Amino acid sequence: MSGQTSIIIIVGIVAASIVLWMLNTYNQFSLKTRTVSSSEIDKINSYVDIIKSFSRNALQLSVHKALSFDASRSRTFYCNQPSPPNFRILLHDIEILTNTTFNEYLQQVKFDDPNLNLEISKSTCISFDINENDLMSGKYNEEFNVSEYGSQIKIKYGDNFIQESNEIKDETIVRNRFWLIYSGFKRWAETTRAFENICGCLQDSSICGCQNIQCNSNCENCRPLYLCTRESILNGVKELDQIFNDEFIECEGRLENCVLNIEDSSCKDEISCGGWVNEDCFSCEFDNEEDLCAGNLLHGLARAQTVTTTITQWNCLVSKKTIKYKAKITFTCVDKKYALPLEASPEAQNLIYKVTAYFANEIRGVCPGYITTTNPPPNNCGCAAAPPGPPGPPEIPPGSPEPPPPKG
Amino acid sequence: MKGQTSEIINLIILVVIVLVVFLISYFMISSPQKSTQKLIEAHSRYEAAKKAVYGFYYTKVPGVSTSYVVLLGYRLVNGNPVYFGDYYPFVDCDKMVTQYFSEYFGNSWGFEVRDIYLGFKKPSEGYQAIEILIPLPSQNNKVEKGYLYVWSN
Repeated sequence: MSGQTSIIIIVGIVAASIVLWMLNTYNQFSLKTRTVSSSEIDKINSYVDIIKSFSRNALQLSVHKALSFDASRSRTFYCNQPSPPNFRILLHDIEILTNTTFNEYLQQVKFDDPNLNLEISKSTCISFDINENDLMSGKYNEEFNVSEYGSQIKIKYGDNFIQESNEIKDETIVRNRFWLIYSGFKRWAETTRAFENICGCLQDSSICGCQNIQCNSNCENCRPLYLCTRESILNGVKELDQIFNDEFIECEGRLENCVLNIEDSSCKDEISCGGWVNEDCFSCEFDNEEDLCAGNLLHGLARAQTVTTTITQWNCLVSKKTIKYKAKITFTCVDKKYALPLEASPEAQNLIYKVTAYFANEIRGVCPGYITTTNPPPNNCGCAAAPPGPPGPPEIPPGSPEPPPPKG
Repeated sequence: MKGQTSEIINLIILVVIVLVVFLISYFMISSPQKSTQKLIEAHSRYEAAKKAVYGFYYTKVPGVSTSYVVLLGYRLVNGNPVYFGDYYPFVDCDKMVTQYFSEYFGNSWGFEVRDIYLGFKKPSEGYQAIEILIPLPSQNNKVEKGYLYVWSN
């Protein structure tokens, strides 16, 4: 009986041990499976989170890059009159560029994990949360929000699959004062008086002796005009400094190009200065030259008379000129407060905002040309003015005969 | 009498054996095996590393309001220290990154990107690696891959 009991107990123990061993094995397997499975799901979620985090940072860089590029484009803000770029078009250009750069970053997202099957669709649209009215009030001077739409993440890892939106709402962009400088330039273009002196400069008789200046040649070839333009530029820079009034923003101006065209004008032209009409904002193409007084001085002889002791001298206005002058000026403002994330030297990492200003003026009826002749002046001379001073504008006798052509 | 005593001793031995078997089984069931244990440890290390990596993308570097990952991008493109403009001129990126990960992992971490290695020498095995994608502010919009290694002390 006691031997039987022992055998039963031993069998029971062995059976219990086997059952426990099996339970343990199952439990371990189950725990391992659960751990691996949860690890896979965690990994997928982790990849999604990393991609989303990466995307936010990539969006920031893309915005900085797009703004930096746009700032360097030298957009025209002044063309004989205030002509800042259309805000909607400007914003659209920046959004497109941001989107392109952002998608370039997304395309390069790859992980080493061979079990990972990753697909990130492109962003379709970038939206800057910028309102034009608020812009001019300075709301976006230090920070603004940008959103991205359309991107999706699809991840397959083992048997697990996940699809999530990679859209970014209201990512705040800081350390970029693009909109501060843009609004400053816009305000400047709308209020500048920097180019008002140009018409006055064009009446300076010393310009009459200048040679024409072709595109891409040295603007200093006509020194008085160059100095005058430089004064305009300095005035423009002063105005910009006053508008920004910021210790970190430094502005400068530079005469990039100019064209001077001095051509004969109608002798009847009164002095008048205005825009160089029928011209592109800046073009090296000239209008077809018109024959005004050129080629036949007789038609332009004015009558003037000086009486000397022996002979009568006629001082005749024979020509006038039209001066056409246009210049391309670049104003550059550098914001040294923040360095942008750009691959460049420290100086080139600042936001460098370039703006182009053009003016094209035409002044008629200047640079009067005279000849002195002993022949009697014409009675039907088209030119009304005669030069003051010696030999002096005399009284014009009525009915004077037509003078002969000048010799030479 | 002698037979009864022997029977009682046998029973006691059996009871003790049963108890030992049950105790061993209990501990076997309740505690994971070594391989599972390793897996769990690795998983928890990965979780900790993940947390640090998220922070790396979102936490702003003091003074410059830029995430650590962007700071690192600056550093890879333009060198260390990183120029941040006249308002807050220079930031020692390597120092900031070292401080950041040390706060999470003490001296049990290493970070490698390109030929730069920050942190502590990693053991030959038993470490967890997690990838960090770094968008570079380079002209061609490159993305660089960095590796954060974490291990147990």
